[in-house]
Amino acid sequence: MSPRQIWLNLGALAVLITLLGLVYWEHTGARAVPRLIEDLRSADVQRQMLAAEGLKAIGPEAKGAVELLVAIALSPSNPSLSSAAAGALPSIDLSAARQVMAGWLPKLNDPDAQVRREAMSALGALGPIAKPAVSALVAALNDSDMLVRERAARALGSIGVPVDQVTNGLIQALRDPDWQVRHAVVMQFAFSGFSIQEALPLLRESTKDENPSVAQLAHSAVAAAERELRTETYVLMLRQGMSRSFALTQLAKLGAKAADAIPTLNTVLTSDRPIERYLALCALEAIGRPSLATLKQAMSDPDPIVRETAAEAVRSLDSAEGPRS
Amino acid sequence: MTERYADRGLTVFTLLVYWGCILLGLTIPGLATIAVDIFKHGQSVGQAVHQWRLHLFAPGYNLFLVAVLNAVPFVLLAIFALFHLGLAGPDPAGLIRRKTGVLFAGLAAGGLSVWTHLMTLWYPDAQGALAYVFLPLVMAVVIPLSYLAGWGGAYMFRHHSSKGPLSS
Repeated sequence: MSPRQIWLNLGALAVLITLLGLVYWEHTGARAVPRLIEDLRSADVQRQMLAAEGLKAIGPEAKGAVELLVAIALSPSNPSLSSAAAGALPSIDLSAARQVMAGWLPKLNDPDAQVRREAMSALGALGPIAKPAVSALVAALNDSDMLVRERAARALGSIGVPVDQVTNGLIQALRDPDWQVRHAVVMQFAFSGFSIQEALPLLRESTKDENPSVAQLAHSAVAAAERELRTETYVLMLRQGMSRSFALTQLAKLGAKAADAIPTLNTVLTSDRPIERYLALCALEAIGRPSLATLKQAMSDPDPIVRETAAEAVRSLDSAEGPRS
Repeated sequence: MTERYADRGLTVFTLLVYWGCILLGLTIPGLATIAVDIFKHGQSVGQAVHQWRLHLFAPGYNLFLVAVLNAVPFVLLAIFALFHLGLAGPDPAGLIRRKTGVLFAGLAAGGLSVWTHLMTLWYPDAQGALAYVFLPLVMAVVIPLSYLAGWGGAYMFRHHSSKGPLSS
């Protein structure tokens, strides 16, 4: 082969690589939003669900899809799709996610059990942003319908904050008469990162549950509760940009034990993703008094939900301090 | 005339290896996905292709990135083959060794990649995706080794047959 032929073929490869790069660029980031919106409007449920996941991964740049996502999240036509749309919203727009929460909350008291179940799933899909729904979800753990209670337990595990309220509710539900509910509750303790010593005696009892699946899972839950969760691991994840939302949620579950993470959480408060700032505030609120100054600064955040959360956290910490001073 | 014909044959062979390697690297993951959907999940060809297209840029299943990651060692092998065969001298014995080495490397890379992708999809596992990350690293070792095996095999075969039956 002549050198010219060799260089021509190398050039053709370079053109191919450039074309592939362009195709990838075209399908990622804000550029992909119009195509994903089109997918959301399609009649193919799988395509719609993948579009919702894609929009979630894009984050605030997918603002153009918010209206459609809210409509789908509040629509009762397909519960899985509603949950996928609800799950995408917190990463894109916190106010829209709260709008969905407000839309589903009254349905927790619907006379139709199926509607209540769907409401549980949608609220759970919203994750920690559905924190104001926790009281209603804890109350739903006493619902007459077994599936509603089971989904309430799952939703509480996925919301996770405020950790005391969530775990107190879950601990009570460990004595539920239906094994499916107990299984769902034990699963939250086994895999959702709640390191609550108060739950240990009941979890140990659950290892002798009459249902073998619950008993087996309870062993994992006891091991998880006994394992010391390390703040440094989550701080490292935050610094390296790995699964930041997960790391922040886990720090919020650690409560005061996560005090060493305050400097890192301060840096997260400058993130361009409102959901990360919101989760950082949840973690700071759970840490308590040492983070009060940072929480006060966050009261001027550009996002209304983050501002509101900071203000609530400051009020809550001030009122907790009140009787002592 | 004979030399010109031989050169053209080598050029065609080199270009086939070069573009074949690149194409193989880019298409193996997609073909494996489609094959598993057809033979494991019982989907029709049309459904399997539709699934592949849906997941091409989907978060968590980004088959486009998987294809690109898989193609990296194949592209490096293709470039090596282009120079190694394209600039080969007229010595026929040397040329056979080079061709055999490159073919061995290509077959080993293709076989390993097909096997890894099929196994990862056929027996899904939470950590399965790690295979896609480690595969190029493993191939970075397998490709030179299989090239050496092919080159050495051709050398030994040639050396052994040139001695003839009297020498044994």
